[in-house]
Amino acid sequence: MNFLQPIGNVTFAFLATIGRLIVFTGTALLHSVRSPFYPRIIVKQMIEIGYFSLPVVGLTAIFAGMVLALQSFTGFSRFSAESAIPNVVVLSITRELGPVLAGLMVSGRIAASIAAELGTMRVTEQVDALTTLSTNPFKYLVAPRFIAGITMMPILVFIADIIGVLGGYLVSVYQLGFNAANYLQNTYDFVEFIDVFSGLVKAAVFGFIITLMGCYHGYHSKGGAQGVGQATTNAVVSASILILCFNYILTGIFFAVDG
Amino acid sequence: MAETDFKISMRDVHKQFGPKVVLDGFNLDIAKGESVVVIGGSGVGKSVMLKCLLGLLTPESGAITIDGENIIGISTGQRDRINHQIGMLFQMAALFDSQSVWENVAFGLMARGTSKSDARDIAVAKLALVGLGSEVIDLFPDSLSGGMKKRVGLARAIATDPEILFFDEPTTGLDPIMGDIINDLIVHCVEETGATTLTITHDMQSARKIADKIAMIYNGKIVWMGPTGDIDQSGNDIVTQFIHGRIVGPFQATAQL
Repeated sequence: MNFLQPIGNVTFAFLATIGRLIVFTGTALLHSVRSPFYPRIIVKQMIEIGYFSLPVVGLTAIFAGMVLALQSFTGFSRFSAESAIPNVVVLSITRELGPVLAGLMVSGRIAASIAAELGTMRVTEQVDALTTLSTNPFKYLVAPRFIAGITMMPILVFIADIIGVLGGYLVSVYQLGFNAANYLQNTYDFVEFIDVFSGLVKAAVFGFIITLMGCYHGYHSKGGAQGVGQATTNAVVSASILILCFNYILTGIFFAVDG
Repeated sequence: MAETDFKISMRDVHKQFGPKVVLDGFNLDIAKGESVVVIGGSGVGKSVMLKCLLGLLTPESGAITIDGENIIGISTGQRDRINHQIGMLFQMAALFDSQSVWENVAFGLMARGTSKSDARDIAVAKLALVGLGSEVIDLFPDSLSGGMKKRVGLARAIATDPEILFFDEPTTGLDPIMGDIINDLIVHCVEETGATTLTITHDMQSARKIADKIAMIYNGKIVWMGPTGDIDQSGNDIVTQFIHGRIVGPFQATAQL
């Protein structure tokens, strides 16, 4: 029966982690909606998460749009459906590629940065110092990052949508010989509110996941530099996996609503 | 004396992490205005004791009171009110990297509603008290030496004129001269503020300089406590071994574990 022991240990450890994560999430959300707020820190985090992520998200979006146009052309030209390329590009970008690619890129940038910062603060006792200075670490460290992540990701993804469609337009018009006005008209006629809205909802959820994983792993890191490194890795990996999982769940929900 | 007569009182406090028992029926009483230093080897529970007092850890059982008021299991609001009267100097100073020296010192003041300009004036005055001039107030912690960080940490601890001061290994990582300067500053600041202080340290020179009373922690309990002048005649083997830094003695068994 000894072989059951490690299975039991792993199961209990997993359940304990889930429990800790739920308590952490609840506490953080509660502090995100209750005063006092720290507007200066919220704005600083918004700039960090939103503004400074623009180059990496923009580059990802434009290349994704360009590749999408080329690959679609390769496939669609086999059954003379090239005219559907603007539709495929805008639908793919707004519903899937915009939020998912932006989520993964921001996850690498922000989840890692939050985990490293909070982890270092934890192991150097700065988090404890906050408590002794009558400042709740959840309100001061976690809540501003939550608020910034949830609000800035939809804005980032909206911009990524525009840039991604632009990428498809550039390739289609200047490389594949599409008429510019027709391409834009097709895109505009085909895209619906729900396409963009579903992508922005996904973006808000991904922003929540990214900041949650960064804060959770950073806040609970221990053991010095190695612990902070581990926390950073765990934050990025768990955020990326959760983004892909929740992308499927949210797509399923919108598919049901749409259908 | 009853526990309500003391500024700080810990009675029969138990704290363990998994199977490892750290505090095992720990008792400590500190009168108002008294300076007590707790000495002991590494890993005997000094920091855990301090974290229980600060509310960062919750003991499994026992009673901890400050001014006769229980502080275990209290609400966040009550804890904040207790923390308002506490200042803490952390082992590595724990200064906030993203904030300048004066912002670090003024942090607790601004958290309690003091205006930015008033908080800055108080921070400058407290920095002057620990021997730091106006040339450092706009620097960031990464450009300070270890001794300067400790001074800034001390200024931050006394910025709100707390009734209680905790010092966690105040001289660790400093050269003997800087260590002695910090000891003098602690004595000076305590005299200025009239605060009740609790210090944990391995450094006997520091303990002798800043303590009214010294307590020795071993196996999760206080095994000896008395006036600083009595420590050399404590008659306790553990205390004698520790203060002379001898390899042979009761501590050896612990070291080999």
